[in-house]
Amino acid sequence: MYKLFLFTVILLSIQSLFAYESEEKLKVAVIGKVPKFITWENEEKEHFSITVLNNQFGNTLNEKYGGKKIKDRDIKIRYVDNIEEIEDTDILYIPSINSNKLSLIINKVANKNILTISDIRGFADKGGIIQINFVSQKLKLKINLDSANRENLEIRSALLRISDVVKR
Amino acid sequence: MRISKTKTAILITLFTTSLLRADDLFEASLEDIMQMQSELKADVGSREGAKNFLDSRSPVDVITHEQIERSGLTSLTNVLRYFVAGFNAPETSVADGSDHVRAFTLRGMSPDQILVLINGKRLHASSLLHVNDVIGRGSSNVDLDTISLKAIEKIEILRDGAAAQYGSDAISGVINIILKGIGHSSSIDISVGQRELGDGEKLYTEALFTLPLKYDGFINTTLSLTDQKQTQRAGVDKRLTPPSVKTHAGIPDYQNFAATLNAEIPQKNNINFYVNSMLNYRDSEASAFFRPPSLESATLYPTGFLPIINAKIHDYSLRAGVQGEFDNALKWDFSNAFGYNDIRFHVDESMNYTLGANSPISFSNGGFNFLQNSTNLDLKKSIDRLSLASGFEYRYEKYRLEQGESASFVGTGSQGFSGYRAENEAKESRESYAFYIDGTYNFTDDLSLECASRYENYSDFGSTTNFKLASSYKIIPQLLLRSSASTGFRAPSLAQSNYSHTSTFGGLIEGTFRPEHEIAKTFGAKKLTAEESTHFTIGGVYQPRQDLSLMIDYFLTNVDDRIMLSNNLIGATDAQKRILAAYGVSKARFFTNAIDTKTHGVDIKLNFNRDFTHNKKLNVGIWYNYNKNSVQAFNGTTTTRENSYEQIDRVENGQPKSSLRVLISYEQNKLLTTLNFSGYGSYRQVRDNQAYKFNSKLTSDLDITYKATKKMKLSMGAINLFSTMPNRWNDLSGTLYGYNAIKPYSRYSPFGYSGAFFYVRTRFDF
Repeated sequence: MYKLFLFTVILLSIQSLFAYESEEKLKVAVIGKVPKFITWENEEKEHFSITVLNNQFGNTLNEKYGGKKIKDRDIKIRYVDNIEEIEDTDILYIPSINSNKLSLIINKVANKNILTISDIRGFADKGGIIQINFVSQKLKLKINLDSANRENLEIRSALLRISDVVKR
Repeated sequence: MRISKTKTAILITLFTTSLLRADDLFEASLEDIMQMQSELKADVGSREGAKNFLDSRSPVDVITHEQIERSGLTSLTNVLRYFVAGFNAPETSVADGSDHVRAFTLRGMSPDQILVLINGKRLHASSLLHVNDVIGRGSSNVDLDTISLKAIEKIEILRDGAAAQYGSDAISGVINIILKGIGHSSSIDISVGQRELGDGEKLYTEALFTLPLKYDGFINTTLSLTDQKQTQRAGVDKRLTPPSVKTHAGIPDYQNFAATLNAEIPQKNNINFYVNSMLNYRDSEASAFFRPPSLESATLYPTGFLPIINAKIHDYSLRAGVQGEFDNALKWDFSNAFGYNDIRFHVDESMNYTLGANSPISFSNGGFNFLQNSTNLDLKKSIDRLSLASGFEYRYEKYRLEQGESASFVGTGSQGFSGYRAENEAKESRESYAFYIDGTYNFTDDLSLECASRYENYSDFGSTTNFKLASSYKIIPQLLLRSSASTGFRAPSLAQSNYSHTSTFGGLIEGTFRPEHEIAKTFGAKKLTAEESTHFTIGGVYQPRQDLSLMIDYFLTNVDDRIMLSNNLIGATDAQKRILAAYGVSKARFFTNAIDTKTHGVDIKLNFNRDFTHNKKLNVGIWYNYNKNSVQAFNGTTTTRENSYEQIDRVENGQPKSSLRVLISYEQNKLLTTLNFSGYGSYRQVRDNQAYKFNSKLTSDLDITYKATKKMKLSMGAINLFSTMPNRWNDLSGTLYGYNAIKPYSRYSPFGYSGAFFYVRTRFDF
């Protein structure tokens, strides 16, 4: 009986590589992982800027990326509540709450070399660059390469290989 | 210093638990993140939107399509029985219509006290009423086997009353079936198998074709075909010389074709058109009891005959709607759900004794159909911490019972199953409309309260208003406490109010009469009214880590005016005898709001899901359910514990009070192994006013799947691997039912009595 108990304890104790994570945390993780596959026009800026329009992540972004670096630059996180407040940024994350305003947002950030990421349904088909969605509890990425090219963003083939690419 | 074994284990636990606090997610590569499994979400139980099922304010469980695929099962009823402790679905035989449409229950309650939704929209019930002495007698249920398994993304099961949210029927629970959407590949599965004894051969083929559309739209079509041969577990017929096996007892012969469509066509402007539809056709054959040689049948069947009851079942449903969001973030959804079920009975290899040698041997016995159409408008908006939902529903229902050909009912009627008569015919409809409002306020990230109310008005029995309060509180991040209290109802079905079936025995009529028929009224029958319920649950979820959770929930459900089909009653008073004589009736039964019941119990569920290194995954689920059903009060004198012992004992003891499911799934590289143990507690069945007990049993199922290539999987497995059989009737020495009788096993057996089933299966993705 003791051996069974000990076996159970050890089994429970073995470090799990991939525990069941919340969708929100996985999205936050993707925001930090994607930049290494992207080349921006100017990577010499002081900060690496992430802007979130109508934040739905609570404090998770700050907790996970506060004091950390992306592309050897300190991460600067900015939360804005309306489109007019969006300024120069490397990444703009657009939560699904903004789905009705999507075309306005995409027009606002057009030609500004901003990587747009969202979980809005049809985001990549509607002109966004990287769409996050979940199928059968697995995170999937969908990339609109034309939109990326329009924004002068270079996406490495390694990312395209693991993503669905919108075809014209 | 000597450290005890217990202390060692505790130290290891504490040490490793602290290690687990390391945040690996943000150290993992993007490729690894994309391989992780995200939280499992469920929509049912709240109108707030899908959320982690472990954070639900009411107990919710989810079965995923991966789990369904690994079970090796081919019917939705069996899938639910396999995964859900407290879900009961016996396999009956020699029970007329109930052999062809399986009844199922949750927590030992009635089959019609479960609401089934498809993508959140109501699915119609079967037109069949179970009228024989089976689990679920007197009720109709949704025919779950009309739904193709391959079309299913996941099944959400709400274990709570929810009539204040969804309306009638949501008493013992709600099953919400979510159909596959975007992101699946087209595939085809072929499965063949048979029972250990060499019978019950089954061929099952299903295919999913998927077409992605712009803006993440899709068209998914699923086709499935089942060809099932009967099993034979009958005992010898001692009426024959020499005794021999003639009657068929086991699962029926049937062919089933099912097609499912699920499509969403989103527009650029965020308007989404959606439609899902299911078509099902089943041709099912089961037998009645063998008719030994007799004077009446000597010409046509000198050696006796076995009447075959054939049910042809058509089932269609279509849900279509459009949804969108206004600029002020108000979400709207306008939809229509149509459902239709038609069952026609034919009796073959039989005869009508009254017609003698001129009798046909095949009969068209009539049948029934049920149509339901619901139109819904749902609105939803979130304002800061408040989520509000409101809506309107209009529903139209029509029930029709049609007579059979005259040869099927004149005189003695066709042997095995007498046809429906002209006086049994019914064509009734009703309408209902409902308004609901549902609000959830999240006081903090850890404390939430939901209030819901629904007003409903039915054209046949009037109106009802129901309420629900549910709350959850995370005391610490790992521990969520939850509780809910609600009222509910179940509208009497049109079938219960209008079904009748009479036949002639010895020159006198007997059978089922409508509650408003003079015969029923003389026994005190009244127009049926709604069953009313109250619910209370309290429990919690302890989740020390993402991959380990323990749910414990206590539940209490009281149902007043539960509808039952009465016993066969004979006239006791002069007035009753006079009316029975006037109609030439010897015995009568009818539906009545007979009893008040109490159901209470507990669900304990442990989930452990671990992904190890080197492509190894272990999933363990342990689920124990205890439920106790008891009759608290009797309404009137037509149904009492004394005159309806069998009916009452079926409610209280006919189903296992305890059940256990242990599911272990292990995946290593290309090999997936799934082992399932199902424990069924004891139950009783009454024969001739004597209760017989059937012992608790444990069955085991095994599935081994090999991923031969990226596009092909090969599987083999067994359902009921060790061919566990239920007890035979102990100390019952009858001819039809008994230890060595034609039917040696109880039809209440929660896992049937056909023994082990072995299969091989292959799947191709394309």
